[in-house]
Amino acid sequence: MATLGQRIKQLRENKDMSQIELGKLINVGNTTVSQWESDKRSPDVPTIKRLADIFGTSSDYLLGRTDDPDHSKTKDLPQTVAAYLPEGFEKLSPEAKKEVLEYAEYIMAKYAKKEEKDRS
Amino acid sequence: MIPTHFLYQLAEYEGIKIEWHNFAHIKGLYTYTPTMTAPVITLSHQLHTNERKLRCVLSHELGHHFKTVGHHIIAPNGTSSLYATKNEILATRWAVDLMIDTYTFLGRLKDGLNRQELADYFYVLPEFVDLKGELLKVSSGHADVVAELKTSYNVYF
Repeated sequence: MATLGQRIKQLRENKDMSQIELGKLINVGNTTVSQWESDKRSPDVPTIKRLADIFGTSSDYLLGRTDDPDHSKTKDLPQTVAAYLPEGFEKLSPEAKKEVLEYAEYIMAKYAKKEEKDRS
Repeated sequence: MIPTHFLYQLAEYEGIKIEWHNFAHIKGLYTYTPTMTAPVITLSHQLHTNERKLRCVLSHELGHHFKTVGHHIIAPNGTSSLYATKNEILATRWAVDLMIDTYTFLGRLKDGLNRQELADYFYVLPEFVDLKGELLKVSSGHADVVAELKTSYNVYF
């Protein structure tokens, strides 16, 4: 299992990002990034979450609790509502967003687990 | 060609429920939260009359199931657009690779099939063929092959 430092380095390199560039995104110097990558120091929890967001992975992957970089972020962000948007999300009109969200609420209620239904 | 019924079987095997709805603005939707008994893919009724498009939409939504579960795609205030864009790309990439096998695709390119003929061969929208070409161009293992095809066979991308 790779260390936190090794994972940060590997993910940064996958994104063709320098230590300086990564440091700028999270307001630390490249020396700090270098120390993380050599496991001499560790980032704090909010920074780990921020790193996971930047690399599009989960905190669990960074911390070596899973080997799957696409590991679900379910615990942090439990809701998945994914529309087929050939034109891209940015172009989704307010009406379309409203339709998606209203329908998603309906479908979540229809397929709600029993205890969730009882609670509501 | 991946048969359309295979996509339904894959959904069934994964425990995904299929619903149909008369959407005005979208063609498909993948919904899952831990409070639900099962993930649900909802397809637009309009797709009943367009199997080619149905295959692209359904495979894309399956892509969300396999690649982006747990990511918050659409927030009421629209703040999740970064995740949304990234996840759309992940889902589309998964779908394109499922529907268009790389080895076969390269073979048919060598046979001289054009964009529309490739779309017909795999029974997908031509946009999926474009995406496959783009994916192969950026994939390290295939950049050289695509470059060679471009010069030797005068392919379109």
